[in-house]
Amino acid sequence: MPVKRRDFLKIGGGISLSTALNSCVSRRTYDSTSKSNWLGAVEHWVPTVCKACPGGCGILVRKIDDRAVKIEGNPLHPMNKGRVCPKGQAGLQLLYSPDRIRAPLKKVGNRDSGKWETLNWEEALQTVTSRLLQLRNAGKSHTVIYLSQNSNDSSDDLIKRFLRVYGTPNYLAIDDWAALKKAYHLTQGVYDVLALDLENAKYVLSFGADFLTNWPNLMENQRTFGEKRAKRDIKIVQVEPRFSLEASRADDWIPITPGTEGLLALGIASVIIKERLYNEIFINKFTMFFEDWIDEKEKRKIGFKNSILRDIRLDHISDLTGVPLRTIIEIAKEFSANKPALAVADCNLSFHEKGFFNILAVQFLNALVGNIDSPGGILRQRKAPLTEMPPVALDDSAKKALSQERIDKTQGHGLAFEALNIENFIKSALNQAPYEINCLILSKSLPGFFFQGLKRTKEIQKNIPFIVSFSPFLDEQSSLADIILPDATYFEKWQDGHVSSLSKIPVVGIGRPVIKPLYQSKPFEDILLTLTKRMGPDLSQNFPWSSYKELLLDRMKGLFMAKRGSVFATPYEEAQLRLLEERGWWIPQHDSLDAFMKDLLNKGGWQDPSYHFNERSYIYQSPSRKFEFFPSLQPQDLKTQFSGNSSEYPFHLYLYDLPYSSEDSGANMPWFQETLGFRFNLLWKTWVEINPDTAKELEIHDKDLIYVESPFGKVEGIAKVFPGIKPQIIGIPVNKKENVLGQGEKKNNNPLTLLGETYDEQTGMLSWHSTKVKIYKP
Amino acid sequence: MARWGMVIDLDRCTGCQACVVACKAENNVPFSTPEQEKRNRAISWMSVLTVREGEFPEIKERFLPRPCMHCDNPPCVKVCPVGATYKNPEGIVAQVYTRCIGCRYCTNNCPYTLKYFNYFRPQWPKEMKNYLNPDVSPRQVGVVEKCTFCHHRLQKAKEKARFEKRELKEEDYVPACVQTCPTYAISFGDLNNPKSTVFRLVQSSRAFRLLEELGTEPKVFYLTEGEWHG
Repeated sequence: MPVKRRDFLKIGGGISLSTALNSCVSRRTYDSTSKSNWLGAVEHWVPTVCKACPGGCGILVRKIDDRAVKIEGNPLHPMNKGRVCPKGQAGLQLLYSPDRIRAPLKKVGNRDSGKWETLNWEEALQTVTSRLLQLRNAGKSHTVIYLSQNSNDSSDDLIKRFLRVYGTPNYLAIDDWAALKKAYHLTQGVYDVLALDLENAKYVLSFGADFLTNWPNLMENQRTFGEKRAKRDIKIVQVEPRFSLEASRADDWIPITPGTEGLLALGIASVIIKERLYNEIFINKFTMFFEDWIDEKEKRKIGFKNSILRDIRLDHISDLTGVPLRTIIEIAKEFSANKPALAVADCNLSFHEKGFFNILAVQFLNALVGNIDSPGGILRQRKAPLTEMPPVALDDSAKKALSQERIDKTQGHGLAFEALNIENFIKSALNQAPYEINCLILSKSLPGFFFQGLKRTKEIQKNIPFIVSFSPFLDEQSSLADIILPDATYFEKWQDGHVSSLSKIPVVGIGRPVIKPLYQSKPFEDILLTLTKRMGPDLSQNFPWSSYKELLLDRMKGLFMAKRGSVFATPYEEAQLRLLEERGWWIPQHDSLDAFMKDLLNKGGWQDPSYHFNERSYIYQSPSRKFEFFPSLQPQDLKTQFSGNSSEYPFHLYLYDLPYSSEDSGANMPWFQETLGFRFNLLWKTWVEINPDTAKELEIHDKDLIYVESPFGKVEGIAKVFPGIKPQIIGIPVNKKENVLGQGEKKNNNPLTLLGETYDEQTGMLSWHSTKVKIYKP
Repeated sequence: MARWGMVIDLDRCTGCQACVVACKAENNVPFSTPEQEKRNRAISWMSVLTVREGEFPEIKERFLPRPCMHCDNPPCVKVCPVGATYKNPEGIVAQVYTRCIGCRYCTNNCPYTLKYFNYFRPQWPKEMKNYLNPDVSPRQVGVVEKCTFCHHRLQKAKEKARFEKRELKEEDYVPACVQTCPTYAISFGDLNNPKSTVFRLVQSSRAFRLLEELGTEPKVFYLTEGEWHG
């Protein structure tokens, strides 16, 4: 038998050798329809950017002839260094999903009928153009709403430009990180998320942070975690109501009552202040309002220190948070003694009525120990020097429309406050005030589940006469539309991807199409450019590019001109460049722009590995150029109300994001979806986490089917008796799909329907953690 | 002769599932369906086992990624009546699908339960057939399949080395799960080569193997997390 096997392998080897030779030498002509000839196929690797989440990792796609067959990481990309997360690995299921829209679609008959007819592109573009022009000519261009999610790329900048020139202030992007950005803006004057230098931190106090699984820079964090854990060089303390994946990786897990994370942070702050464990030098030099101060009216105002000393009673905090007194004191001591120590707030703290204050309170801890703008602390990324697009020329109609208030009553285009205030948006859409919505454009990246979480979707839809979607898939979101112009997926278009500001170094990935757009789909960016051309000279003069590719390459020129950073490089070259740059030197690597562009496209992007500390005016942009404590923060700011009567609905509902799913549920990637329940041995069922004591009391057993009911809705799930959750809390994951690729029965079993209409007071974010529920067996 | 083996550092593993999906994409393993889940018939060559200990609030969870153990003394080979599963000279326990008669003796005899039987015909939607890897043959209904340490990648690496007229280097051959692991938890290499990383890691006092007492001599080693022992 061994002889036979060896012979077999020899034959196999010969065949594959011919494959290898073939790819090295030249392509043989062959008949692709004949199976016997497919071994003659040619293999290619195409570098591009992964867009399965806004992380912007670099990937190499393996191509066999015209088929994309596998995704590997781009080893030169500083974010993922050749590695790919499970969602990225499943990316080709998006490309070849059977649920993709083949051609532009138009809804026929009743809006709820779900019947579509195909259009050709000419008709589709004509319909949209005439509608948009009609509104614009009637002076109603501001009633066009664009709903999306930030995607960290030039495509975002292009659509913003389009909307501006067209004349609407309503670029509405759902931004989970809005509360964090707002907190940084209030304290440091920077409206952005800041980077966390985990690589150099010794102690991480994480307040519910999903930094290994849900942050846009998770690949970097995973790598850092692996390295530091292997050296036992980091202590991670996870404060979270539920034993999450991060909690299981942390050294300590501190279960806490949902929504009281900020209170715990203030409690820790009070211990640090009482015992004078704070960094006095830093506080004197770089902060404001820590001590009492005298305002312009010569009135004495109480500072952060005294307000904490006056208002915080530790035993009270311990009662509210459910964290033992001893633990609070221990954390405070560890946090101030182990330097550098990072306090990390996750955006999910803001999915709460008092969410913004929770996040703010956590930020104060970093300032107390002086861990800002220092290794292992809070840093601010120097943005990549992409060429700015030329300034826009606005006509009168656009100018007039842009002066209108934004529909969600936030501060609008001029400032960077782009995050959508969901609460205000819903109110405005329902009341048709300050103005009615005449056209709603749903972006390609708007998560399909967004509307499922909104109770009033149908009512909102009724109020809007025309809805356009750019989704490549027919899903919950795009089926609301009247017309769908199918976008291509990220394997079929020119694109760039900038890493999130959570990462300390700027990286721009660039990718070319791996394959030609399938079916009749077209890249969204190119559709947009075509639309501008059809909308008259006022618009088209602002878009001099013939294609999105041209625009992208134009923007990349800035990277060549900037005289900093380099095209992706080997670790050695990167280290050398960093050394040089930190000493103020830089060596050009390319003689000409052409050589630079060629290298850029081959390697997959650009990076600047150096970080400059002590640039005070960059990290603090508040009026005082210092970190400003917000002394009026009171413990009562953090008290929560719960929707639901406690006697009828005895449990707190705790909804949480599954790994890699906060931006997009990955519904079209069955490989990815089936991994999500691995901790509970489930593939396709959604589950409900119950503490063993509670389960015993209610006589619920593992794997029982149970109902969870709130005053607002009811869902079903498989009971999972789980010691990693407090007895009063019921945990349910959001975004778990129960059917494969639209097969099977479609019932609305989305846990978001359990929520009442409560929002974070400051950012309008839907409150996930303030509903009460009851559970029972059918 | 090389003796290929794997070392998985449980300290580094975050249970992220990248290895699981990478394996399916590389080896043409179709996704499961709710129907298969109900009957416990889903196939995943690499699967992460969760071990949970303790009671609220003192609980610990460990993640154990489990590919085929590629035993040096494989119990599955001993019971195969047709020689469909065998150990090759480099220590890889392989499976020839066309020889397999579907008796499932090997799946029953594998103490790690890491061999999978195709109860259903593997199916892909028409469009998804496009991403099938031409280096790996899709299976038919009624045969057993399992992790092969991405053996086709070894074949390719050997041919490439031969074509370039050089010796095969250890880094030429990397299975899909190792290549994608975001935390660098999985190492792979020649256990016979004293210079290789796996050789060094296996000497560690943290190294252990699953069900070592059975004498199966697995070539997948684990490094314990904290004080935990196997």
